[in-house]
Amino acid sequence: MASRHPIRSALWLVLSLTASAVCYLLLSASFAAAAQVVVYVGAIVVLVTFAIMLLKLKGDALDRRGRAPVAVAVGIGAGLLAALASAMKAVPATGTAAEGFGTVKEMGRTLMGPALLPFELTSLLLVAAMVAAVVLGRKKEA
Amino acid sequence: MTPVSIALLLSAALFAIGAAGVLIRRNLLVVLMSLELMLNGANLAFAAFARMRGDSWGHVGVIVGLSVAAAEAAVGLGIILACHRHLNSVDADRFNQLRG
Repeated sequence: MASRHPIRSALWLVLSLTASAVCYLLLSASFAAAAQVVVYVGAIVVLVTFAIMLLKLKGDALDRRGRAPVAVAVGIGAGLLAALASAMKAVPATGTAAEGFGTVKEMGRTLMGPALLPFELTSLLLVAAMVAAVVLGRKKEA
Repeated sequence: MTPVSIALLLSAALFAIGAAGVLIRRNLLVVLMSLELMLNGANLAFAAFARMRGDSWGHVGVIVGLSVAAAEAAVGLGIILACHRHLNSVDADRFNQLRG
């Protein structure tokens, strides 16, 4: 975020996304970790990098930044921290996870069973996004 | 500190850094990357609460969040490319009119 050139930001983004995939592994969510690596590091960052390279940024367009919003951002972060801390007190910790928790098998059971509706809505969203991206990326016909 | 609370703190920090990036930076590409960071923070909180409750619905939330992030990246980059073709700039402050 603090880097001046977007490509440096993208590389830092790869690092932080991979680190959070490791966090998923530590939280015994192996399927989510694999999906994180494939989707974020494999797809999104590649898209971002392609866009950066396609755009041919000029030196003066690289960045300007203001001072005032820093206070707002810090406020948002502090408020969020407080909210999460109170939520942690509200939810009772169940301790150790069940056997096979977060594995691909368990995730498949849940996704095809009780969570079928969100899963199908996700596929609808992805189709819509694909169509939108194709339409937006097309050169305008005169 | 349990691993769950560490993960929650990390997710809050990720979200805050992403929000700061969205608010401070004016380059649309960096703003988009900061948005991804915010979504990632939310996903991490989902995974942490799923671990805390031993419930796989949190992982369903993570998967849905991942797809939302992917869709947002595709559409957002398409919009940024179109804007760049139009104005030859990716500075958010220069996009200040709706009609072309």
